[in-house]
Amino acid sequence: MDIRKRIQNEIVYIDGGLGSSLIKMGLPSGMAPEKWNIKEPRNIVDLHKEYINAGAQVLTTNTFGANELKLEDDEYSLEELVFSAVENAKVAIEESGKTKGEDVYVALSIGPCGKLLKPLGELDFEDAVKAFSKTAILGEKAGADLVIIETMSDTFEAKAALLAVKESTKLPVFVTVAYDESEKLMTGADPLTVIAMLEGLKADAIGLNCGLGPQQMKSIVEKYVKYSSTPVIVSPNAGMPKSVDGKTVYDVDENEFASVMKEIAGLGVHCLGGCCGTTPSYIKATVEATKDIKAKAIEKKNLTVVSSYTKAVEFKNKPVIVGERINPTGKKKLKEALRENRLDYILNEAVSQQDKGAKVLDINVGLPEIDEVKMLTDTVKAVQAVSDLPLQLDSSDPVALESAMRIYNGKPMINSVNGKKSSMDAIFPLVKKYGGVVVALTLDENGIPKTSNERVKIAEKIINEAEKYGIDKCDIVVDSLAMAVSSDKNSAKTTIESVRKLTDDLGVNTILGVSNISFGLPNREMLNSSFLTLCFENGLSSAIMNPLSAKMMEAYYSFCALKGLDDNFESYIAFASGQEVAVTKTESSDITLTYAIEKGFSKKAYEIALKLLESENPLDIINEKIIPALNTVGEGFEKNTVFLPQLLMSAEAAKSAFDAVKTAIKESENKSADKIVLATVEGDIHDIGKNIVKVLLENYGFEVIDLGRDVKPETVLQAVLENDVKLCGLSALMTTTVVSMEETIKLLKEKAPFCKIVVGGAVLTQEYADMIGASHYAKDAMESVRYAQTVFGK
Amino acid sequence: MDKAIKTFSASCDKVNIDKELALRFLRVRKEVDDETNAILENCLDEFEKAVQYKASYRYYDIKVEDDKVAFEDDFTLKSEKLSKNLRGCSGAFVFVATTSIGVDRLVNKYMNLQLSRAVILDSIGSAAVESFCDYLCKTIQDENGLNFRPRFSPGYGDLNISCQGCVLSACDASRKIGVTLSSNHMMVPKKTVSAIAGVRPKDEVCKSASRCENCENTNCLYRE
Repeated sequence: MDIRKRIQNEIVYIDGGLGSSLIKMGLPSGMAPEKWNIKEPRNIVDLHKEYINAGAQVLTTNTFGANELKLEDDEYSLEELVFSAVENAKVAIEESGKTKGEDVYVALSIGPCGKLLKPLGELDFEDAVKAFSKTAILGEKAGADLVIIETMSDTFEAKAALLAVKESTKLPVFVTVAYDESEKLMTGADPLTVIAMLEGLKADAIGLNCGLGPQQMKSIVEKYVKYSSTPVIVSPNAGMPKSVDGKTVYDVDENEFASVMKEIAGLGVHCLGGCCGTTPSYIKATVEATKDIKAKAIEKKNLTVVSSYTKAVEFKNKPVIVGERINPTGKKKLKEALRENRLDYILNEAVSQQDKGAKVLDINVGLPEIDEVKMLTDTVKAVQAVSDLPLQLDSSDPVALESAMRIYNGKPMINSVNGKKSSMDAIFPLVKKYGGVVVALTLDENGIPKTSNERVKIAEKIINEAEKYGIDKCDIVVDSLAMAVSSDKNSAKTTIESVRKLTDDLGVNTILGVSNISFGLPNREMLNSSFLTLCFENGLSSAIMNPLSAKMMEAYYSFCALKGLDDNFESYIAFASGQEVAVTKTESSDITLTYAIEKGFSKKAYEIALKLLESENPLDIINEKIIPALNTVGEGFEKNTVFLPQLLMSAEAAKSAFDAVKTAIKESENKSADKIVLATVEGDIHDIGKNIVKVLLENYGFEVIDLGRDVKPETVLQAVLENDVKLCGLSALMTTTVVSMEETIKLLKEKAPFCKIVVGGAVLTQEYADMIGASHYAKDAMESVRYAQTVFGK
Repeated sequence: MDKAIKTFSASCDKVNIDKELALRFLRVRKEVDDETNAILENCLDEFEKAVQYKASYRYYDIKVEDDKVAFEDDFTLKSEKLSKNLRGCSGAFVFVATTSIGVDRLVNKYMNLQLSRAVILDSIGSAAVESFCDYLCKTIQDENGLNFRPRFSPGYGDLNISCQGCVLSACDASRKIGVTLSSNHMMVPKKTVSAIAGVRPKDEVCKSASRCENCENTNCLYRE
């Protein structure tokens, strides 16, 4: 029987600890356990047999670390290790007189690859997918019945592994993750966050292993059983390790283990097993203790949940605010930022919306003249590095959507599908594959219906079509379209009626881009905020709106407070008292631009610069105010009277003053800046120093081509040649990476001898810099600026 | 001595972050004004919301020779400096201590938004992981009635950083506390310290040496 069917109706037993048992059997310390698949196959087969005797129905292969990124083995190939592991399990089943795939299943074990993914680590998502695929393909070829991805402590890595197995094999796939005492993964996700993502990606069973003993797992298991519509797996450690007479033992014995497992089974768990420290006797005791417990039927929980890597947002009673500001429609500044590829503008929008109470952020970067696939993907990556809110990926291009859904860390919202067949044909396969909550617009080939009944009908059609793909109604949020009331006086009424009917009759969640309603009318916020309240009162689950609008947030917080959705009025009070502070703080003081920059007041510097533009020539502001202020601070830094954070704050203030002035500079006056390439060398991920240099160089009018960190020598060379750059700055933190700095210098000297090279970083000294052939050693950021000035003759 | 791998965590109130050290990493060597101090305090608050102090460690019997130290049958480290540091010791604790991934996220966030804040938070992180190591070592010493020699880390002196992998596996640091290694032996989360702390023989007198005293890099910007 297919194991997917089996776990629907009965409790299935998985084996216990493998690695810890092998150590007991004499695995030499420091040796990869996988080598024993070939060196000591008998030991492995015997251990599997003991587990079968104990009652285990799933054998996990000895392949936990069999991953090309982790296992650098010169003795055996990955193929040999995986094949022998599966073979050992097969032999054990045969020698036990059992039938493989019927009595006992062989599960290919896939553990973490040992590297952290970008942006925090250096491993690229697709490289991780490739590595996991390799192991999975070998496992399937060798005859594994299923895959267990286990002990994952990072949602992103778990996603890479799950996607890899799904894309490269037809095997059922189980996923278990490791929590700590705080009930979170090492990378911060709580149970609901993990469940939402793994269910979205269609894992066949999900759960937890390792990290904790059975007692500590209980409260987490309760959450799994409460939220998950997928069978749940629980494989605890045998408690905590200690050593007795030089041997590691665990502090929970088999009887205690089994008695807690009995309670856990009673909660409605469908797969029971063990992890570190558990042995066949633990599994035997567990089987004994739980044999009379009947498996509970698996219920659909019908939760509407979106998630990031640490946060889950559930659409329940309280309306969800989706921040609308990252969408170029009608936003001149954002359009400019997108065209110039300035992500910092977008990131600021993300963070400020989160600060103001958005719970999900809409990300739309569609402009006719840009490569939307790349832009959406890059933006999603960048926003996920600064905000932990779930994102709503918003595009009319399915290719861009897929590319972003793939690298999104969590379960995204997708904006949108509609009632047109072509739209559903394009979007639903993506939602099916990657998971997500999809916004469904009530329009179709005939346009937007005039009546609420017709809009509800389209919603029904979309829900029915989604069902064919296995997409549940709870993963659809219907947008019944707010159209300008100025062009049709009944449009708001129709929309509100639709929301009511969708909520009551279809029982589906709803969403609206509320701001459209006031299009063409004055004082739009006035109308928008009233419309918002009316919609909420009629059941609207979420609104795409501007959280920076005080009026809109007033309506939102008031609604929640009045409807009993705000315990102790906490949110209301926090919002209201925040507003009072803002009102008293707006008085302006008479400070000069020079002072604002020297003190590092960014906002003030921007305001004053704008004001100065009314009376002064922009170039004069730059040359007579901004540059002198910067010089004062820079000299202070060199004399040790100004320290690094102050220098940077001043640099930031100067930058915002530049931003204010820049718009007023005519193209003709804007002479092109000297270009400098900056990079943190290959193998080095510590780039804070390089970023400091970048900010200062930009302040002093240089154009910086920032190649980022972990940059290959060839990439540096290419940038230098393409841009005909006269100066290149390289940074390295460790002695081990100075080697790649040396290689980069060598390559540049050979192929681009016209380019000077300035180096810096913690381990570098003048002697070191001379030794590796750098043109100049800069001991700090200001010195890089001074050197750049000499190179360009300033 | 218990040789199992232990894990350890600490709440923020237990780890007294050495503010002076954080300032030294920022190259501030004078009294700070009120404004700067307020920014520093504000960053400290935000830091403490993101930090999770976690460590894993285990005890080894060791054999010290002139230029190498054997940690039972598990691994041997080649280094004259380490041998000197551990001379006379019959055992040592190997530990990995981290401020966890939330700190990396926080610093990364501001790296994109407000670099000055990223730099301050980064320095606080460097100081915090040192303070956490102090707290961890003190706790282990107190619990076991021991005294440690000054701790010694991979990459320090002539102890090649390529031994980082050994030290991390000795503490099962990836599984226990989420510390991974990049291809150049750099640890992620970044504010992580791995070290070896020798157990002083019973009758040895402790000389409290400054952290920097034994370091050869006398030109270091951060020297005490």
